[in-house]
Amino acid sequence: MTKDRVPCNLRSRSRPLAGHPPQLFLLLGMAALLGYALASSDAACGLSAMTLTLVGSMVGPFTGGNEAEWARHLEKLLKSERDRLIGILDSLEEGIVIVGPDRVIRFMNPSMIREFGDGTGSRCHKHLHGLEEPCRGFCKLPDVISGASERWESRFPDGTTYEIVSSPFADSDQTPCMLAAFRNVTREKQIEVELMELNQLKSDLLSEKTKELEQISKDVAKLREEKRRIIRFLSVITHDLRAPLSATQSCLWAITDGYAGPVNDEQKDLLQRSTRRIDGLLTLISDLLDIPRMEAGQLIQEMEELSFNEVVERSVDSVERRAKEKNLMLNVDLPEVSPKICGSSRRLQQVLTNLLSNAINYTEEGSVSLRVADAEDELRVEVWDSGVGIPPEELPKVFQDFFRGSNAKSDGTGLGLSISRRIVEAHGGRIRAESPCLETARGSKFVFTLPKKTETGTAAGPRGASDAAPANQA
Amino acid sequence: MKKTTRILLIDDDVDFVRATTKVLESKPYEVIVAFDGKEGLEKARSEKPDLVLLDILMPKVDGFAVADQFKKDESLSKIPVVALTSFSDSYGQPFAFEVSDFVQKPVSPKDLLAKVEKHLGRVG
Repeated sequence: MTKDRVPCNLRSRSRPLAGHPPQLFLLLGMAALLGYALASSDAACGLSAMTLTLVGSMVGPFTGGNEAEWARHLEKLLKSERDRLIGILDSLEEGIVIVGPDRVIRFMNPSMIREFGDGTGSRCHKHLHGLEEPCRGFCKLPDVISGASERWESRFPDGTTYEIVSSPFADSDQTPCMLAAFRNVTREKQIEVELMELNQLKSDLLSEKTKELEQISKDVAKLREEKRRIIRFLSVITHDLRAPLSATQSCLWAITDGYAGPVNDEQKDLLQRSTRRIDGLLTLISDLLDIPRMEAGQLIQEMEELSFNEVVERSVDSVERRAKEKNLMLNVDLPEVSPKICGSSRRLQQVLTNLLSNAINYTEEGSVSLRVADAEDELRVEVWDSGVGIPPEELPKVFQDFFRGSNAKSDGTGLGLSISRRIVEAHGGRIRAESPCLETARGSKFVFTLPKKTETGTAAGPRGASDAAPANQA
Repeated sequence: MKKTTRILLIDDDVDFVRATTKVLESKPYEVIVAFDGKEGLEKARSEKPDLVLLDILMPKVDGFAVADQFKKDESLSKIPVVALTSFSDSYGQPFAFEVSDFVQKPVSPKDLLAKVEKHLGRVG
């Protein structure tokens, strides 16, 4: 067996013997001592009285007789012990080597021979490491011979790693020698290395995932910032789109109502047509800008306790002009005591205004009516008209996004009713449509309910509702 | 005793201001105009109006800040302030300031006058 040889403790670390299981060395030491003694040519002479006593106890007592019988007994005893010790040395997985002070290998057990080839009588540096000169700077022989035990690991260039334990050893001729046990720990080392690699992999993976997470949270922050930016942008756009229309509307209304001098009927009609179109455009802009909010589930920004009659009156005010222009009756039936509910007054006003202006838009003659019924646990709001109504097959679709009925007027996004539905639902209520309505036997009727504020808070917990965002949401 | 009722209109939109002034002057109101929040606060302190109509989105000092100053300033805190708002003003954030009332832009002459009368009546 040939190996690439290097000094035995090259790339190794030396540790004191302390801490190593003592039994192993006791066994190895004894086995080597006896085995070596028995294996050498003058076996019998090498045995001490103590050894005899020891091995005697293993064969059984001598039961008397003459000298020849004693000699035969001794021989038998020696053979038996020699066989046993050789057996021990043969079956030891550890390689045992004894090196004299002249660096000559005095003994190798079969395991050692299997690993390194038989080198008995050769110089240890030559046989084990293929060096002509002693392993300078690394050789532990002088230390061990002078009485120090050493333990270290040595890795050979072919990858084989040995754990080497060496102890001072007095040979049968009392020469101070070194007894070394070689244990092949290559597999253990490989496992150790693999474990280290695995650990490295684990920590690499961990740091990689940590980096990914950091990146994700950076991305999220970026998206949040982006969202804020978009909302700021939309806010500016909305203002910039609405402000000129709003100013134009104010000017037109001032003229229409005669604040800038008398206006004849023909002029008034044209002015009213203009203001109506501007009104449609203002609603269109609001609806369009509600889309991103609707998608983010943030139609409702704030909830407060409010007096419902006031909300209705504001909505009625905003459509009164248009009803008057069309010569429609606008009937409003409110409870005497204004019901208190928790909600968003601007959004509820938006729902009412939407229902009322739809009713006015689709009614050419007759009336538009609104009734608020104050029940124990909910408000019931009904808006009906005497207009064209809604075809039955379209009724289930009117609350869908972007739905435009066959009777629809030119302006509009088809969002008004779907936004209204979302607002009502965010308040914990329900909305439905019927056509024709019972009251007028024609036209259509929209009914929505709103849970009332209860002692323990709000009946439907609008703040927790799907469409309600926290008040501090920016 | 002032002879006429004085209304301070704080709004940066010249055209809206012109139209609104026309409507308000149809009644015995004297209209004082300021085109931004800073000017509005100065005129409020010097002119002591009976009522303030306050736009929200304005350059320099916005309506939120002006309303805040009105609350803090003892000489102004009694003057009713009606905010002129539009839905878009609160895009992304709820209103968080105290005023006597809101009017949503665009406002019809009738509604505006009704609102003004209501709050003037309140201060007597």
